[in-house]
Order: sequence, then C-alpha cells, then structure tokens
Amino acid sequence: MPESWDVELQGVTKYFGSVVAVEGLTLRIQSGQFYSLLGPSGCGKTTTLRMIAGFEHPSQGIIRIAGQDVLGIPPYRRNVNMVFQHYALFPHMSVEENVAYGLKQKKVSVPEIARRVQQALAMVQLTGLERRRPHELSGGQQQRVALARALINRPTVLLLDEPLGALDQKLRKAMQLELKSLQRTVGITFIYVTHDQEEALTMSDYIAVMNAGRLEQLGTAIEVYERPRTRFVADFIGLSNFFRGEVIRSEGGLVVAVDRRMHLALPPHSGARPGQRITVAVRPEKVRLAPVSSDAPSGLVGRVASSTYLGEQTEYRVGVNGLGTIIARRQNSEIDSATPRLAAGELVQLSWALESSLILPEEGVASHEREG
Amino acid sequence: MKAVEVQELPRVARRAVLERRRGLESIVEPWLRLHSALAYLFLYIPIGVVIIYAFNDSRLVSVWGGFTTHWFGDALRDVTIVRSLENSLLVASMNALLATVFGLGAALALQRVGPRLRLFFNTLIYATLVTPEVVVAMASLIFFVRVGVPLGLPTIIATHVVWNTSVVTLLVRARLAGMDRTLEEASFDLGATPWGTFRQVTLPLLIPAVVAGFLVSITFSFDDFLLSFFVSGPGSTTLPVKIFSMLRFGVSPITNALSAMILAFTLSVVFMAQYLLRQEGRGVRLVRVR
Repeated sequence: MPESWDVELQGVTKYFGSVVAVEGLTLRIQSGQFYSLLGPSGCGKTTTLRMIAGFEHPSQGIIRIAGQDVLGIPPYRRNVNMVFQHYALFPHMSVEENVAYGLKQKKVSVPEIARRVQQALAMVQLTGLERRRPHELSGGQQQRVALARALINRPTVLLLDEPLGALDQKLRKAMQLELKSLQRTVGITFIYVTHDQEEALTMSDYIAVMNAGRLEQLGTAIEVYERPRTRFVADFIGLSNFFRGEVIRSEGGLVVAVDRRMHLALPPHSGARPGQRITVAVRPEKVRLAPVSSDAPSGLVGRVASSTYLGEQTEYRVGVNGLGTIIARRQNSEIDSATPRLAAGELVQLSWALESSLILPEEGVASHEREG
Repeated sequence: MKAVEVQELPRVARRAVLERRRGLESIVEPWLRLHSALAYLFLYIPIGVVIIYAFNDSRLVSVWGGFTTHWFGDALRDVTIVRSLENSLLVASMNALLATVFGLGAALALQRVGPRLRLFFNTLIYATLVTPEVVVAMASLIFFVRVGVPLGLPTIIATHVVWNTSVVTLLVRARLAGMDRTLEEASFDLGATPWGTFRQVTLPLLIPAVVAGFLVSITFSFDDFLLSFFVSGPGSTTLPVKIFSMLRFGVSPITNALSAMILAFTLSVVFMAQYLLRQEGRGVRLVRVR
C-alpha cells in the first residue's frame, strides 16, 4: 500500500432495524489531521464516530484503524479515545482519578501515572484542581478534564462528539482555537463531529459533509465553502441564493435560462452542456448592490425589500422580478459617502463576478447519476 | 379615567384574586391542620404507650408504678427470647444479603433485555409486591410442604428473599434509570473491561441504592410476622413470632420492652437507608475504588 491511513472506512453501512443511519460511507483519514464530520442532526455522523470507537458495529463494510481491521474488537481493546458530548466524567472520582483512569486500566506503574497525569493537566491548564470533583468544575473545565482523560492514553485517533455543544458562545470560540492548537501540539489525529458549520470551517484540515447517512462532499474548508458540489452543501455551509434553469447557447457563450425569463451568464469552463438542467448558487456576500443611476438600467434590477443590521454586515433582501428574493450581504466597514446604506424600497442593480456562480447538478439528476 | 389608573387595573385585579384565595385558605387551613394532627396521633399514640410502659415499674400493664429499665434486662435474660432474637438477626441478615445480590443482578439484567422480557419481569416484580402477604405466606407453606422441604430458618429466609428481591430490584433500577449510560461507555473507551467497568464505575454509582436496599430488607425481615409465622418450624421462632406467642398469656411489660427494642432497631436502620438514598446524585463516594 503506497499510503497508510490512521482510520479507513470502506463502504460502511449501518442499519438500526430498517432505518439506514449510514450508507456506503468510504473515508480515509490521514495521520495528524483535524478531520471533521459535518452535517445536520440525524445525518449519521455520530453513528460513524461510534462505529470507529467500537460502540456500534457496522452492518456492512470494513473499518481499519492504523491498518488493522477492527471488526469484532471491543472498544476497550481499540487504541482510540473519545470525548463525549456531555463529557461523561466519572462523578464519584476526582479530576486526578478521572484522568488517571485509562492508564490504571493498562496497569501503568503508580509513579508513572502520577507523572503523566500532572503533564496532561498542565497541558489543559488545570494544574491545582486535581482533588476537585467534576460537579465542582465549570463547563469549560469539565471539557478540559475530558480532553486530558482521553489524550493521556496517547490514542491513534481522538474522537470528539460535539464537545463544545454545551458551552456558551464566547467560551466555544476560545475552546475552538485551543483545541486546534492542542491538536497541532500533540499531533494526534482528531475526528471531530459537529453540526456547526462555522466550527468545522475554523478548525478542520479536512471536512466530510454528510447528509442522510451519505457523504455529500469531502474537502478542505475552502473547498467545501467556495466550491460546493451539491445544493445541500451550498445550502448547509453558509448561505446561498439558488437559481434553477436550463443551459442554453447564446451569443456570449453558455447561459442559464431561469424560468425562461432571465438569463444568467455562466463562468467559462463550467463544464455545463446545453440542454442540461442545473442549479446556480451565489453566496450573499458575493452579490454586489449599486443604486440605479441611469434611467434605463440593464442587467438585474430589484427593489430592496428589507435590510437587517447584523453587526459586521448588513443583510439586504432584494425582490427581483422573475427570480424571487435575492439575499445580499455587505460589510458595514465598506459603507461610506460613496456607497451609502441602502433603504427599503430603493431600486438597486445586482451583479456578481462570473466566477462567483457555482454550478450544481439538479438534485434528482445527481442522485440518478450516483446510482448509475 | 386617567391612563395611569387604567394601567394599574390588571395588578389590582390580580391582587383581588389572590386575596380571595387567601381568604379561603384561612378558613380551610386550620381544619386541615387539625385533621392531620389527629391522624398522626391515632397512628402514633399506641406506639408511644407501648414505649412508655416498657419503662413502667409495675407488673400490671395498665398501672404506672414509676420508672425502671429492668424489663429490658429481664427480656435479655430469658433464653427463649434471646434465641428468637438470634434467629431474627440471622434471618434478617441472610435475607438482606441474598435479596441484595439477586436484586442487583436482576436490575442489571433487566436493563439489557428486550422490551417484552422486561415487561414480563416487571409484572412479576410488581405482582410480588402487591400480592397480599397472607397469600404469599399460604402459598409458600403449601409449596414447602408439598415439595417436602422441612420448615425452619432456611424456609423463612427463602420466603423473605422472594419478597425483598423485588424491593431491591426496584430501588436499584430507579438508580440505574437516573444514571448516565455514557459513563459505562467512557469506561470501555478508556480501556476498562466489562468487569473492570462494573467494579470501578457501575457499582460505585449504584452503591447508595444497593446499601439502601440491603437495609430496607433487614428491617422488613426483622419485624415480619406473617411470613415467618407460616413457614417457621420447631426451633426457628423469630422475635415477632415469639412476642405473639407471649401475648397469648397476656400482655407483659417484657413484651413492651421487646417491642421498644424492635422499634429502635428498625427506626435506626430506616434512618440509615433514608440518609443513603438522599445521597443519590450527590456524587458521594461510599466505597473507595482502588
């Protein structure tokens, strides 16, 4: 084998009764990566994680950890550790005993355990809290204990099941950065399950977007955000305006006829063929708005229906005849006398760079192609 | 009308409703208090009388002849009483031990079986508890006689264990239901075997319910009369049965003293059980895990 993977899933399928939780999932996770499984609740991401940990057994397919097929190997003989969603700290043990638990099972000598517990606690900045009980700690501290308890075992892979879900917004941001830098320091592969797209984008080297038990797209944060391959990904990660239509030929090249009224130009090398039905997605922040200056405006013109102030940005909903509502976002820092804030009712001209148009296959066609 | 007064209206209305309710309460409440006071008196006066007369320095149970503790001494010098006390303690502790082991096992197993089997066993457990004791006693007696088991301490213990296993199972299951199941998963994940997980995580977390079940079983068995009376044989008289046989020759101050002792013993065990059950969920360690 030319390359070795820390974790490899091959055609993994999991049924719960007649319900498919995960379907034909194939993933290869390289050593030292921060790898996220991203998707809405019920998409099978947690089930996938639990199969890697050994709490669930795949109905079909193979899971390999460090090259070894782990079928039939119980969780306590797998060299992976998990950080649970609600931490699952042992309430009857102190912080110290919680962290030492894994090494104790491996019959590591007492002085060695003490040394490594100190090291692990220092790593997550909890020195001095050894004797505390979990219920005497704040949410963020409990989170750190859970991390230390898992990492002290030096697992091949660390599995994290929405570990920041229970923390408040501010703490979550801080922990995101901390987790990321911790991962770089220890160099252990992290598999991170989350439904929070922003979290996945900030932390991950690689993101696997899942939907309804299937893999939708695999790629870096930039790839899945900038070049989503399905409508689901474009919709789930960030926000998108969607236009459905048929590709036709016109004098300037290929265009999409949306509802036979509007023509949207396609970027060159889009790969679209005439006659194909496709969806075009445009991110709100790529849509440029300009007040209508001339009496006979050309291109897309709409009327501002509402503007919502979002702090850093302002979101405009613009009604365009034949296309419905288009959402546009503008950085508030760009607002000055030359480009004033737009008011509701104002006529505006909409435009975006050609390469901002993302070409997505029509959903029905896409799944048909996949099956064929 | 001024605007301010209009705004005041809802608050005024609310106050009126509250006042009316309070008026109703002020009439009903004294009656409720009196009622519950009478109920408690009815329940506890007889017990109080028994305890007071255990310290009565007179052979006649109904005449107060001054304070004494010598009935307690007399009771503990009577060989037959002491033997029945020993029997009771033996039955109570053996019963508690067996019922706790069986009950804990049953509760753990029921957590893992399918819904149908669980329903079946749940029904059995509740059936045991709601069946009138006299029916259980009769059934046990007939069973032992038919099968040819000689009546004695073992049959008393067996009958008590059947009842108490259900009690312990219910207590432990209640505790299990409130337990975070991911704790066991976390233990597996950290390399502990199923036995290691049971020893280091599951059992320590269940210990308050297990100990409480043990203590409740002791008190049940220690003052049980019906079951013990039906299935006891020669030489296996327990303390309550002994008191009953003494009562046939009239109420003696000794029986009062014995009753007072049983009450003291039972109450102290019940308080211990209550205390332990209150510790549930507080993360208190009752055993050291090493």
